[in-house]
Amino acid sequence: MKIYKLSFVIGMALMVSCSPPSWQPTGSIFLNDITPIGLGILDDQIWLSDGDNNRVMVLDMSGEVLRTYDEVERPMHLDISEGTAYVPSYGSDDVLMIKGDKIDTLSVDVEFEAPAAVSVSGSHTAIADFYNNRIAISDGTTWKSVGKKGKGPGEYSYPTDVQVFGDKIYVADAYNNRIQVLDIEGKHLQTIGEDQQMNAATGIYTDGTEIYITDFEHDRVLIFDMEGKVTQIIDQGLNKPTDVLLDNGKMYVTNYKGKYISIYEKS
Amino acid sequence: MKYFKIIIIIFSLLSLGAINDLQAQGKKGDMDKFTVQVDGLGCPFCAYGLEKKIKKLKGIKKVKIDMEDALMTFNYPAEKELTMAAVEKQVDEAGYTAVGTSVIRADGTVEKTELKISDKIDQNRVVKASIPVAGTCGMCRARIKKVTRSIEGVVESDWDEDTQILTVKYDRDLTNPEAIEKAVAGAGHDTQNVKAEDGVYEELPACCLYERKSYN
Repeated sequence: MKIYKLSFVIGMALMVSCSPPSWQPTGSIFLNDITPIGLGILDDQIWLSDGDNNRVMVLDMSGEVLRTYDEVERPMHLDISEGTAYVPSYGSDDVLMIKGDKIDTLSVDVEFEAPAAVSVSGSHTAIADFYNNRIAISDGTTWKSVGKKGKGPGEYSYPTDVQVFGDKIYVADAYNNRIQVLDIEGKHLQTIGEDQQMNAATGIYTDGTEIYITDFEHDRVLIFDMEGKVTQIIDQGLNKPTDVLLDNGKMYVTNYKGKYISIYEKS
Repeated sequence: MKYFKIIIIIFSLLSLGAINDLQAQGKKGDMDKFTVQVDGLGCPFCAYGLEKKIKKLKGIKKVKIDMEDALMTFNYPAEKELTMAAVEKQVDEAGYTAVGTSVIRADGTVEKTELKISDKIDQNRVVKASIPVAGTCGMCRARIKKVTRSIEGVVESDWDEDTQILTVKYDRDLTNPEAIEKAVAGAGHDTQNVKAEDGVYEELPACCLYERKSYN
């Protein structure tokens, strides 16, 4: 009996030590009056789109405000690429490019209404065209829009976030409560998360090994492998999450209602 | 000289008339200040969408959405005499739910909308019903409450997001569950027995697009 108990304990210990690491909460950054929607990190500086207050904020990693860009009408899911912050302005129907003190407007050759997200990777750009239920795509030379309102593959219900990664485009198809994966031309490849009962899939991120999505109304972050299988669900400590990204081995999640950033590390 | 005097007098009289008109309607440049309580504004994407749609009203200034208190405020040229009913209609047509509006007119007068309950209601005839109604969020709740409370004979109503049940108290001689379900479906929400028209459902704000069940 003694030997049996000992084997059981050793077995359990081995199981625990062999289980794959999962994301665990390790801290928070409190944001005072900032209502964060979009998140980017560049050179240990956090970029936040503060939708309610019509501004873009730059913070250090402790939450100290370094810079503010005012009078951006309802900034949404921003992206940072090669030192430039790309900020979609939902209110004024354009995408701003911020580098230092210089602010320009991205030249886009297709019409869109209420851009909710932008992603830039190399020469490719994608914009979530919220009210038109489309994704605007550029290969660096020409623009086109793909998709329409609906529930089928390649159809959207108010897309709120987008990420270009490698030769694919990942879309948070917010009110269809799912993720859609497109090829770089905008052709539908894969649908993920339809069976997860999300309510507003608002923010998306991938590092090429997993896909992360915020479930706004249910206060969750769902993590999928690239085949679409759930690997972890985080459902504690979030308050209306809007965006998620990984940086330097940590996961950051913006909480719109709670006005804080949740930080996670794998252990 | 005589003609010149006549012209001056006519011009003065016309000017006085114009000034009187302006005083009656509000001087050019004067603004009425509106405050609209919009229930269920929990999702920023929908709230900013409401702001975008309201900004299409020509002449509107200083549109502000306060998410914490679910308030929308804006200024509007007094000379255009915008009514509170027109504002609420605009908000409702945009798919949101105005549950109360007040305005401080440029001349200082204050107007407010009030929910009126029919004086025909007899408390002895008031009964309660629970009706399954589909929806997803706080904005759905606001819309369902408003449409049911506007039915003559309804005393109280509320909808629970978790149970998807509308609880309603009504005077049985003035209305009935069939009429209530029809009104709710007319606002875009499927009920146990009445399916909302596809066009109405599709016009609901993004966060209100609930999963539809099949109907026979």
